Amino acid sequence: MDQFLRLITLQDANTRIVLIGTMLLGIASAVVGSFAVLRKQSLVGDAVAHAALPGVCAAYFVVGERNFVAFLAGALLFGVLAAAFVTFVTAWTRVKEDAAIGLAIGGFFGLGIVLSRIIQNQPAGNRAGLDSFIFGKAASMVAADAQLILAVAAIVLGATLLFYKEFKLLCFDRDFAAGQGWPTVALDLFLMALVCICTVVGLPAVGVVLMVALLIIPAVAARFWTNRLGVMLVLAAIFGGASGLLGTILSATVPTPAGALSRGWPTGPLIVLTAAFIFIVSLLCAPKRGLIADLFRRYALRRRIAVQNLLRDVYETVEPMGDLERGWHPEKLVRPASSHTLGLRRALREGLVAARHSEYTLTPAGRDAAVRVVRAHRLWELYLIEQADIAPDHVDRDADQLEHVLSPAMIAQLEARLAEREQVRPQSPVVDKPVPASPHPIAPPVRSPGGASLLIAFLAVFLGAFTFVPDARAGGEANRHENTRVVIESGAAPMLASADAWFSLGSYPIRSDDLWTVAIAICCCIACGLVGCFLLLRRMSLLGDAISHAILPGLAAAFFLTGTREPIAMLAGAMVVGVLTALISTGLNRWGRVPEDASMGVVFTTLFALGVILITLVARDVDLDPGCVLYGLIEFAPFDTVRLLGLELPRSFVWLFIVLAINVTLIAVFFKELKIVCFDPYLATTMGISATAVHYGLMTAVAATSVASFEAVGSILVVAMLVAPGATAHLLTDKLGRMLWWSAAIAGLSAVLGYALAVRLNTSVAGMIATTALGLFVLAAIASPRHGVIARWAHRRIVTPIPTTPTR
Amino acid sequence: MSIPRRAPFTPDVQSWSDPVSVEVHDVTVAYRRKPVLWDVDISLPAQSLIAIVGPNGAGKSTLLKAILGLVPLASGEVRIFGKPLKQSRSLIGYVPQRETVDWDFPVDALDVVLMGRYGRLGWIRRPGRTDRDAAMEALRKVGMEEFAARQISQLSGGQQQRVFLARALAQDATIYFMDEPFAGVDAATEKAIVGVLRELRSAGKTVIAVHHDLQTVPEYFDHVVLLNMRLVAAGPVATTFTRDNLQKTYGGRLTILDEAIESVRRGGPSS
Repeated sequence: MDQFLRLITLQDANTRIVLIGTMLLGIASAVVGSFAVLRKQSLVGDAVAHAALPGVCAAYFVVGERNFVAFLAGALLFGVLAAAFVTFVTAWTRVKEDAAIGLAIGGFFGLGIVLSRIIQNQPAGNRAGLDSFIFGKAASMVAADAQLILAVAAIVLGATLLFYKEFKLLCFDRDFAAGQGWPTVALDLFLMALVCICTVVGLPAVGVVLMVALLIIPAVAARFWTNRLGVMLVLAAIFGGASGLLGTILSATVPTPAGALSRGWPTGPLIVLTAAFIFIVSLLCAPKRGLIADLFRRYALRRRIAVQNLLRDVYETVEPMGDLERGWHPEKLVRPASSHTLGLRRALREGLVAARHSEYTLTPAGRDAAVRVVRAHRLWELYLIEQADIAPDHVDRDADQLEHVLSPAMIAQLEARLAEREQVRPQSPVVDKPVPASPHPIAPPVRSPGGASLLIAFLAVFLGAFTFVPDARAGGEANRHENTRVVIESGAAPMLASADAWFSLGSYPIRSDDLWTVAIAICCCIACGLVGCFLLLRRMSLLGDAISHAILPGLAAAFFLTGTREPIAMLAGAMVVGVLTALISTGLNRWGRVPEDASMGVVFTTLFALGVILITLVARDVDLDPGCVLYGLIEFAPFDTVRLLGLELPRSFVWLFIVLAINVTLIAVFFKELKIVCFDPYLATTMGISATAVHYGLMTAVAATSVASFEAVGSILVVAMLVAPGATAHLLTDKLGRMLWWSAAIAGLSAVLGYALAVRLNTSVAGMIATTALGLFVLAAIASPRHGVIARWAHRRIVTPIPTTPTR
Repeated sequence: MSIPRRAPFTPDVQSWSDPVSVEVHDVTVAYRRKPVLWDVDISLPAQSLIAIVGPNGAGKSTLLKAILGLVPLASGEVRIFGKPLKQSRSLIGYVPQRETVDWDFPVDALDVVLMGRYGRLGWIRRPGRTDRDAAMEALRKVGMEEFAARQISQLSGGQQQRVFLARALAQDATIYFMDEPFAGVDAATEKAIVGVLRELRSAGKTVIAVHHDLQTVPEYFDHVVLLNMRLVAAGPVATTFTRDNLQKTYGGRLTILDEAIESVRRGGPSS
């Protein structure tokens, strides 16, 4: 308590710095993030954030010491490079945007790992400095850091104010902006540069992945409360600032359970979870777009419809007797009494109906209401018959569904129209208000689904659409960042369960370790490269990225629940979370109207933060090391062996070989189905080949491949290998079968080349393989004989002279 | 007091003398609470070329997709040759709009046409020699046999459309659904498609096509369905494709209906 008081009264200078720093960071990134989300570039921001790592390392190479300004410049340069990479690959090659983003994430981050490892291996390298910069911790923030964040926040907010109009136009209608002569490419890059600056200053506090959360989540939460951009920015800033502040306070004050690995909770994940909490509250409670308000509105409408149905029924029942004040009994109405339960209850409460003896009567207010309702109903029916040519036997039902929402203005309009044709005369014997006669005999509805049916029908549509094929892909992307993020975010605290548990230096392999390492790398790369082709063609490249991140909370939860590290439990945990991610982000997209990419970003970053927290809880029982998750332990994997068929084989090799064999078999068996579902899911559906089944099968394969690979080679390789070989192969051939062969070959080549280079440069094998794969892609993009940039350019040169009609 | 009655209303949907191919009963389809098809109720004849016509956003493609089970129905049901969709899949051929697929996909024209055989093959089995022959034959019918090995992105728009048509032919279906088969094609392709349509009709097949060119409706089609969110009229071209019906379809007289539907979507009156 004392500590808490000291904290909130800002007595402690150091705490003050951290609190102000995280708050400013939250504000700045929320404002920039709002534009990124509205520009539908949430995940480009992700790529930019990942590119900060090689940028920082490159800057270290150049200046040779830990210099924040140099790091900032390096990260900025590489971030803009990554954004430009995505833009140009999308524009100049046949590779689509999702794959381009995946390539940038895997390739650039791999490069970052390569560089950082080289730096760490330098004898004079200031390792601790760089490490703390990359993996940093909010708690270690010093005054200079906070000042820098303040400066960045000032730049970001200033730029936003200055370019408010331009950004607004850019986000809303890029083509229109270009048509007006705005330099849209430059504006896009400027926006990404702002994202990049925020990311770089945020790295020490929360790390790459959770930085993305700070960009996306406050913006998406703010969107629920307002439809105005200016208000949204202010709200996002408040949410972002509050998340930073509250998350930091929580991490400093909430005690960790005994035995947890670090004192105090990791700050980054708590900031993100605070933001996620604000998001969930917004999702539920926002007055206009929130889910609760929506439910309440629907219920209110249902109630009103029920009352109106009752009143109309009563009117139509007593109409022939010419006396609206007559008593009536619910059982004697035209429609069954059971359909009036809710209406009668509400009508009694609202004083529209009074109970008299064993009967009910309409009160004066009820009579007026009934006249209004019936009048609207019949005017509407006449309008439908007269003007919309709807058959009288259908008209009652159609009117049922719509009359309840007719506004007085619309009724006046109806009257005016029908009056022209003398349709409206005071016909009813009951009152002298102009209620037209019913255009059809009054009878209980035959197959009508009833008053509120439309809403129910809509709900059914929603549910139906939810399970409907092409959208299911949304979710999976969310997971990809988990592994890398853990490392970065969690900072010094080692967090990840990984291969080293199986690791025992006691046993020695029979064969050459190097050969085994290469074999493991090849198996992993080919397994990923094959599955990746279909992800690429189905435009789900980010799914691999998402799943490799979802693994973290999945693994942690599986370990938490079962207490073991059995591969089956781990696999199940990872897959459950993977599917969950898909479902939740699809749901957010449908019901919460959150853009597809942003909803994915919200879900996977939140899950990732949750995973980090979970791991903090279980960490005492597991031997954890963040590095192995990211880079993998491929160099040491050969030492962890298992006896199989009398042979001493590395365990990772066995697992990866099994996964590779399964992937190859599945692709061979279901080649035709995969092909048609990826090419034309609609046609597949009309033929009875379920695109949903294939989709989830693919996702399961990705999850299984990720889990098996993750054991040995780290997540970054999986992310890169799911995208790069397929994308490269796509540039080299026009036949699917050949594309698979190419992809496998390129994956294998990347593995061998990457390994050789890594040994030569004494750096991370996984990072080097990812970098090599990106390099091969760039090579193919430039030089592919048919689809390369050069070939296209040359082709254009040949085609250019278009025969023109001779001018006379 | 006597209640005046209007003369009994006769909808402008003629009863078909031919056998029925597709029955659509009271189908309503909504996207995000916004109805795009409202209570459509028609039966279409067999062995005939049928055009679905209406303005933009009238729900033409949606009607096609609703019949094929590609969008969920909010209400109503569809029967094809008297059977629910699941039992009649093998009878159906489908030509989607060209833009719905990725033409950079690594397949050649023959591969695409072969996909038409997949439904017939069922799970796992691979296309064999007969399928290959059927695919080549289909390509020949649309005049594309020399492009069989061409990657699909290297084909012109009209050629791509013909490949799609060939794929439908390879399905060897009884009833074909085509979504704007004439959209953005060259004159040669248009001629080829019309030729194929007539051949299909004389072979006793049914073709239901979304069509956007009013000029050519009487020339290419036997029957017409006029659609504007609701069914406006349906029947033989000669009697249904009239000035009056077209005005009803394309004229904006139903603003109040639209307004009311918009209200439903928002969940309450606008006032």
